[in-house]
Amino acid sequence: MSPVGGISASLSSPGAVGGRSTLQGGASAVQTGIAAAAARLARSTDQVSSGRAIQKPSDDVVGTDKALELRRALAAEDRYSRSSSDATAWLGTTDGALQQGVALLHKVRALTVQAGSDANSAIAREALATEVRGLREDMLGVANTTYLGRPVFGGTTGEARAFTEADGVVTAAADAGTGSVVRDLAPGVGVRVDTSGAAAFGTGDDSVFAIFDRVATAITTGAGASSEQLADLDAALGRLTVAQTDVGTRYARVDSLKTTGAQRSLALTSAKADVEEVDLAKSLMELSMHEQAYQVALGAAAKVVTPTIMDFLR
Amino acid sequence: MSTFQGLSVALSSLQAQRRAMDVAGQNVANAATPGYTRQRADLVSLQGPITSLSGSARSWTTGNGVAVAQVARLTDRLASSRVEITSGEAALASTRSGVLGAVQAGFSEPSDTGLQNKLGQMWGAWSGLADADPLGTQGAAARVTVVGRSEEVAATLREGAAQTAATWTDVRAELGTLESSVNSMATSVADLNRLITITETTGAPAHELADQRDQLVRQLSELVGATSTPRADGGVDVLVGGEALVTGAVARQVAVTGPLAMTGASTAATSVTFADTGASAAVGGAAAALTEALTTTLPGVMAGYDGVAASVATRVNDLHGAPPVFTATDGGAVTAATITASISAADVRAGTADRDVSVASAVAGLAEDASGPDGRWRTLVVGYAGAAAAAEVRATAAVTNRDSAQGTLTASTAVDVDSEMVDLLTFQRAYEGAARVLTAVDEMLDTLINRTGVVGR
Repeated sequence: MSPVGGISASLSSPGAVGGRSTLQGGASAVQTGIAAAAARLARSTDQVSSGRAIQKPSDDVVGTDKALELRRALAAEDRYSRSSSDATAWLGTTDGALQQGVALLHKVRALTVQAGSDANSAIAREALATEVRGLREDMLGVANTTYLGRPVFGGTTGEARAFTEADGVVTAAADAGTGSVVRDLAPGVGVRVDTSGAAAFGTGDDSVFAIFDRVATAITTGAGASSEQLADLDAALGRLTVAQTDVGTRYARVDSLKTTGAQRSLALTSAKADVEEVDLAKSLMELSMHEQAYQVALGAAAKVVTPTIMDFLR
Repeated sequence: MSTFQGLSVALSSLQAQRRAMDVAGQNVANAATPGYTRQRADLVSLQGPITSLSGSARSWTTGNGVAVAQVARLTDRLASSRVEITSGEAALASTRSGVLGAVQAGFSEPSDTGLQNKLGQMWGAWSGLADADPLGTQGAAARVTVVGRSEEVAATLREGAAQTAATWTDVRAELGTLESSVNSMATSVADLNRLITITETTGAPAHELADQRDQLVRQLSELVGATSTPRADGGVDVLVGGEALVTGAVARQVAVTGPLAMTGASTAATSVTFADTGASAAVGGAAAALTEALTTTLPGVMAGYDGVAASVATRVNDLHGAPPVFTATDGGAVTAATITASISAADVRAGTADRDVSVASAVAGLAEDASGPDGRWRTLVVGYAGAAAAAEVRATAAVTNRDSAQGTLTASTAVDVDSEMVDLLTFQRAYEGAARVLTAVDEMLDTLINRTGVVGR
């Protein structure tokens, strides 16, 4: 027997397949809708509660790329900021030492001029010479100034002191051709933070210590300081001043690098927040929107699924 | 014609309408049964007996009532095969997206605990060593920090490698479960095919068995991308990648071939084969995504981790010189699974001599190198993030597509309670009508048999 269209076939909207509304079809459509609304709500809730816009890299591929680069750059700025604090301290310590050195030199020069006067007795001259020798010790102390245990005028020397005294002769350890101490303060920008002790305090006969020795000897013998010695003192003063100016210049450079670094760091932090963190106002609005959508979906489901003709047949 | 033909016509109607009501009842009862295909009682009017070819007799011939020609199962072959194809695709796309999701979760980026931050801290430690007095206590502290941060980086890489291997094991286990499910389902489909053929040979409908079988075929579509073609005997053939998995009452088995554990980036390929011939099956569905994960995706991720680990070790070790900062725990080449910061703090060199810090400074400078470890890590993370994002989009589209196919199938094959109720009412009324006919004929016969000859008495 061939299948023949019966009563039921003629009643159930022939041909129009999509037009049939079935219990299961309606239920699964409603379920899909509710599940989608719930997923959107859950994602919104996650974002708001964690405060993070990128829960996983695929949420925002470009954002992830940016976030990783920004994190790297921020870590670098962090390093540079620490290094520049260190550089500031180094240069500050050096500058203080050089100022003291200049003051000592001025004092020695004044004593030298004072000793040149004929009115001085032998005892008075001896006292002046002793004072000069004392100031020479002070100058040695200044030249051996350390920052956190490192001689600031010693470059990369392994010695504990930049200048050592043997048999009354002071030699600079830094003379042995050691390297300089450099701090990296920006990508590819290194600033030297140590100061050559040889350049600042002079070497050999020109060293400030040798000059002080000669001055002290001249005062003791009563010969008085020659104009040559005064010229030596002035030359030593010149070297210290040049060193001080150099330190000052580098200090200013570090300072400006530090400022731009801090600005860059701020910009990077805010860029990172833009990429990684949610805009709270926007997210909260989305959250309440999705919450409402979810409730509407639930409400609609409750209305749509129930009625069939059975409710009306008695 | 027989005097009693009216009775038999009414009886045929009573029987047919009852059968039709039974079918409507079965439909309503299964309104919520998943996979149920609605049925329909096809009624057909019966030709009356042709007793004579003479004019008068023919004019008296009426129909012989009604019968249920067949109870039809209203399948929709087109919608059904679309569901098979789309559920295979949806399962493939969702599973692939799931695997990439697990890979991404392993990266835990961007976050404060991710490798990017750990690398930043390691370069920071080297920079701290460069700033410290290498001969003093600060230097000693900085060296300890360098070793600590380096080991932290190594541990994060090892963790990533371990997590990738664990994901591989999970996926392999899932494929194992899938293998046994597919085999038992294929056997069930073959059994049902056999039962259906036998039942239908006797002329009885086997619609409920067919529903069960179609459900199983759809599950096979999800698992291995199976498709079905109907057979003349009422059964179906199930094909996987063009090859028969089930032919009528005969089922073949599949087997997963490949390693049972991950062996780093060069893990051998895993494939699904037919157990009898050993030929590899061009599977679709979840099985395709799982084999792809085992053969390509996860070994690829492992190679990415290895690349970062090798980059960290080579670049730092080259600048540092002997002894190396990073070595492999097994003494071989450094991979993500074996990398360790084995150096002791005292051996960490800041510079070449005395208070020189050129080495530490140079290592810290690696952070700025675009082709250094940071760059490689970023490339790895962003690469898989892009793949995962694309997979998510495809999965959403594929699932929507499947839902739509499923919707079409449901719309054409599931039960519409309203129309069933109307059918029920119609049959009920027809039944009542038949009963009325029966009464009328009965009264007529009563008149004929009991009252004939007593008129006017």
